[in-house]
Amino acid sequence: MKYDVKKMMMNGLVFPAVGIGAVIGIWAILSQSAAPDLPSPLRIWQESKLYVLEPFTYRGELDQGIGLFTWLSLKMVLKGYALALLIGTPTGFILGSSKLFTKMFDPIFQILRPVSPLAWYPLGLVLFSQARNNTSELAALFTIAMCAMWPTVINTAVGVRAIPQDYLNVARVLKLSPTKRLFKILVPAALPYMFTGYRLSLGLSWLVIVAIEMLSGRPGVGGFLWQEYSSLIYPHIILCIITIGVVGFVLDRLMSVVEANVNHILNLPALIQRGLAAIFARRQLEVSHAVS
Amino acid sequence: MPFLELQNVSKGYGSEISRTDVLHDINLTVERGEFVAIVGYSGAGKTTLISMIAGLLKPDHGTVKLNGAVITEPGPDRALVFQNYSLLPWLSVFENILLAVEQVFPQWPRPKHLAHTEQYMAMVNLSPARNKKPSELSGGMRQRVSVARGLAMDPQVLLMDEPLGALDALTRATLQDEIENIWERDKKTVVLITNDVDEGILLADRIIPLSAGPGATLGPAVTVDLARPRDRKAINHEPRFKEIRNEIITYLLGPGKRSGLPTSVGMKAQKPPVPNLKPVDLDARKFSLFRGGRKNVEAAV
Ligand SMILES: Nc1ncnc2c1ncn2[C@@H]1O[C@H](COP(=O)(O)OP(=O)(O)OP(=O)(O)O)[C@@H](O)[C@H]1O
Ligand SMILES: [Mg+2]
Repeated sequence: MKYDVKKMMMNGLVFPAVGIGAVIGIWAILSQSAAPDLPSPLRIWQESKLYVLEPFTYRGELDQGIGLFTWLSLKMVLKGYALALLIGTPTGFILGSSKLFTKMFDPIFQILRPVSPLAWYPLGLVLFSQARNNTSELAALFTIAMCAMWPTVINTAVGVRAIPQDYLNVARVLKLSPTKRLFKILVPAALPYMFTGYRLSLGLSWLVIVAIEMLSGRPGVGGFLWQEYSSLIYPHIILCIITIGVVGFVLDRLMSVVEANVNHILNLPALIQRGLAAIFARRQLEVSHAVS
Repeated sequence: MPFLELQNVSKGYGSEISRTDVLHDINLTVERGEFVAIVGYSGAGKTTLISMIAGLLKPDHGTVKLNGAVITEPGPDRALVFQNYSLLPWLSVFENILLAVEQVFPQWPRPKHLAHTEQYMAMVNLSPARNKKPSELSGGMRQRVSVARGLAMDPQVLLMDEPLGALDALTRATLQDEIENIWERDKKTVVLITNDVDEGILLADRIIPLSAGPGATLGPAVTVDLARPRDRKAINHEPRFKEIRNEIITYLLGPGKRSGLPTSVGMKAQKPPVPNLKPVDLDARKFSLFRGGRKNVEAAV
C-alpha cells in the first residue's frame, strides 16, 4: 500500500493548524474589541510562559509548573478511576446477569447516575471526616468513583446481556464451573462493551477531578485555575482550560487505542503462556539430554 | 433397557395462548453403539429435538432418558455438535478444542490434554490453522472445529445437528467418510440430524424421518441394512439403497409433509413447506482431502 503523504500532511497538520490559527485570530480580534476583559492570546502566552516552559518546577504548593499540576490531578484521577472500575465492573456483571438484581437496583442507579460531583463531594467529606489528614483526598476519590463508575456499570451490564445464547450453551454442555464460566465465557464475550465503559469512565473521572479541585482548593489543574481566578490572574484560567482539554483528549485517545485492541489484550495471557511453555519445553529437553 | 429413550415427548415455544407444539408425541429408542440419523424439513424442530436430548431444553411432556436416568441438564457425556458451530470467537482453533478436553478430562496431566487436542485437530485436518480465530476460518473449517470438539470429548452419545450442513459437496463427502471411520473405530452411540437423506443412509444404522411442523413427529424408521464399510460409489447402485431412499422420501413428501396437528385457522395461511432435500450426484464425491485423498484423485484421472 502506498501512503499519500501529501494528503496525510494536509489532513493531519495543515488543516488543523489553519483552524487553530483562525480561532486564535478571532480571539485576538475579540479581545481587542468586543470583549476587553478577555486576555489576548499574546498576553496569555507571556503570562503562562513560565508555567509551560518550566512545567516541572516547584515554587510552592499552589505555584507549580503546569506539568506538576497535571501530574497531581492525574494521580488522583487514576486512583479514583481504579476505584470506579473495581466497583463498577462487578456491579455491571451482576446487573447484567440477574433480572432480580436489575429490578431491585436499576431505579436507584438511574437516580444516582445524574447526580453532580459537586453534590457527592460534601457527602464524602462527611463520610471520611474521621480520617484526620486525608479527608479531602478520600472524599475526592469517593466522588470520582461515585460519578465515573456508571458508564462502566451500564456498558458491562449491556455487554453481559448481549452474550449470545450459543456461548452460554457451550458453557452448559461443557459443565463449566461458575468461575470458569465467568472467566472463559462471560468476561471475554463482554470485554468490548466493558472497554467502551472504561473509556467513558476515564473521561468522566477527569471531568470530576477538575470540579473537585476547584471546590476543595486541592493542588492540581483545577485548584490552580480557581486560585488564579481568585488572584485575578485571568490568563492562567485559559492556560488551565487548554491543559484540561489536551489531557482529556490524550486520555480518550489512549483508551480508544486500548479499546480497539481488546482482542490482542485477550491474547496476551495465551502468548505469554505459549512463550513460557516453549521455554519450559526447551529446558526439559536440556534436562533430558543432560540425564542421557 | 434401551440406552437412549424418548417417551411421548412434546415441546412447544411461546406463551400459553399462542403456544403450539413444535414437536408432538416423539418416541425414539437408540441402542448403545447405534448410529441413528433423523432427516426432516427445515424448521420442523430437529434442533429442538436434539437440544432436548442434550438437556439444553426440557420437554413439556414426556421424558428423555439416558441409561435409564431422566436427563435434566446438559453434560459432557452427551457432546453436541451445534448447528451454528458455537465456537468461542476469542479462542483459537486449538484452544476451542482444548477447553472441551480440559473440561471433560480434568484428571489428565497437561501434556495429555495437549496431545489429545492435537490428535483431533489433525483428524479434521486443521493443524495448519491451529492458531487461527474462528473469524479467520471458512464456514466449513468452523464446522470441522466444531465436529473435532465434539469427538474429542469422547462422549457416551455424540449428538450432531446438521454438522455438515454448510459444507460444499466435496468437503462434505470427506467428512462423512471421516465420521464413518471414527464410528467404525469406537462404535459410539450417535444421533445425527441431517437434511440429506443420502448422508443419513450412508452413515446410519437406522434412518428416521421427522414430519413437517408444527406438531412434527417421527415417521416410521427404516433400518439401513447395507453392509459396512459402505462405499459411497458402490452403494449408489445397490437396489436396497434406492429402496430406503424411496421409502424416506415418499414419507416426507406424503404423510410427513402435513403438519401433525389438526389444521387451525392460523395454520391454513401457511405455505406448504419446501422439502429440504438435495439430490446429489454421488459419483462425483469420492474425493478425500484427507489421508491419501490426492492419490485417489490422481488415480481417477
Ligand atoms: N427459542 C424459540 N422460541 C420460539 N420459537 C422457536 C424457538 N426455537 C425454535 N422455534 C421454532 O420452532 C420450530 C422448530 O425450530 P428448530 O430450530 O428446532 O427447527 P430445525 O428443524 O432445526 O430447522 P433447521 O433445519 O432450519 O435447522 C421453528 O418453527 C422455530 O420457529
Ligand atoms: Mg436446526
